[in-house]
Amino acid sequence: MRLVTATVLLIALGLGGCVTIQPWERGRLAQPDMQFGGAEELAAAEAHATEVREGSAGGFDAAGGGCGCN
Amino acid sequence: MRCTNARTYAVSNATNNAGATTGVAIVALLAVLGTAWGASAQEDEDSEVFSSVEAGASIFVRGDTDRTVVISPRASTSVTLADERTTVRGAYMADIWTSASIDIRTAASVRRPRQAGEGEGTPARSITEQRDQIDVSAQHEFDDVTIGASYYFSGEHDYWSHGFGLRSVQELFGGSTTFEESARFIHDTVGRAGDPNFSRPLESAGLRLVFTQILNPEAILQVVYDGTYRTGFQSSPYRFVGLGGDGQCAGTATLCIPEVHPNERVRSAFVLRARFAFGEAASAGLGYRFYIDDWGVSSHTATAQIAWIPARQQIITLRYRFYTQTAAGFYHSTYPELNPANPVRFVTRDRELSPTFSNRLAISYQGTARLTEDASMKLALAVGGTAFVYPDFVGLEEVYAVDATFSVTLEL
Repeated sequence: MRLVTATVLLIALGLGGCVTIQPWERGRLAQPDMQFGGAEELAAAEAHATEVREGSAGGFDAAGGGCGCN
Repeated sequence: MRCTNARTYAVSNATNNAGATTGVAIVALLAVLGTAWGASAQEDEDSEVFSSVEAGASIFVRGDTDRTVVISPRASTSVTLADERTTVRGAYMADIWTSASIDIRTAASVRRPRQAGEGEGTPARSITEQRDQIDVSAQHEFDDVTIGASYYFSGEHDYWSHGFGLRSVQELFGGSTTFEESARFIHDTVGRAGDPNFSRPLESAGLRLVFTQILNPEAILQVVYDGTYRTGFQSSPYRFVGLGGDGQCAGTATLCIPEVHPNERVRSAFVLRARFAFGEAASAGLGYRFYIDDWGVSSHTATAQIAWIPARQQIITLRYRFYTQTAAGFYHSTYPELNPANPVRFVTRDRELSPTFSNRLAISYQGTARLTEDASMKLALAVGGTAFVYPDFVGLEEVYAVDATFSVTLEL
């Protein structure tokens, strides 16, 4: 647990500010296929259905609330 | 509630049908209102109230070999004000599900004794229920900082949830680095069908930290920490655990007792994920999540996706997901008979706390067509399949599921 936390923090701190990409160079990164969350209209219900069938939760994008009966 | 609702088995189909109809009506109303709002904004450009409006509707359908079918209609609206810095979003989603899953079949044997003429092979009656969820959020962009707040309500006849969230996003180093912090507070009330005196609270507080770094014009990396503390009733009020025998109340267990989970749980998830573009026509994504909690559950999740852009504003994406988890420390597939000298503190019959793994493959298409100079329509379709394996859960070894989502979004 501590090792994972330390690794994540090191990656974050190590990368911060080490690269600066100008706004006009970010056109490709702004395209929908480069977004981490994906299309919300496709992901919302599927993420909820997945999360309520697993013992773990969180980390990825929000899956909504409620008890998850389905 | 979870698929363990061994309620009176007199759930009124008329009530459920009315609920489903209400849900679909709300979906349609939201979509129409959003569209009308957007059209109004376009016609009244001089007023400059809105800079853009989106209104969408979607439907998700899922079925599995555990005799569960889910239909989830959803409607959403997003409005960006004329200052182009303030965005308000709203969404409604319903889960209308019909199930005779292993939980219900097991609970049915406890709560509804086998009737005359029903043999061993007689399937349990299915239950149909509906969950409604409303999400609203607003955010405002300052120069390098975005502040947002959100609220959701999720309601069923025996479970109610209210969630509040606050979010802040900072752009650093000219926007190449983004740091996001969000906090959420959730208050749940757990009820039990047929028992108006049963009401148990469940409180949750969560923190999420997201660090996003642009590596180069075609690669981006994200690191996420997500932690949650929950305190309150976390068992199922419908689920029973068999002691002795094969562990099943429907089987040879000598005694059935209500499920008892700990009242507190601390959960942590760490995610590392990246996207890589290969020119303008293709991209790939990789992700990994490590999860651990103080109930003894730990899990690993690996994701991979490949996206192909055959034409402008069209995307075809293939996604794969692998998930594996260990069991909770107090989970056992079978529990020994009651021993007063050495009582068991926690017992569960929750397959989500058993060791399990799953594989999921999905493909999706997203396309945008321009309708007029100011309006466009986005269509999306996704189809997926998942195989769940439960190596140590009595009565259920595998579940196979298929699902499909179709959505239409109007952008003005």
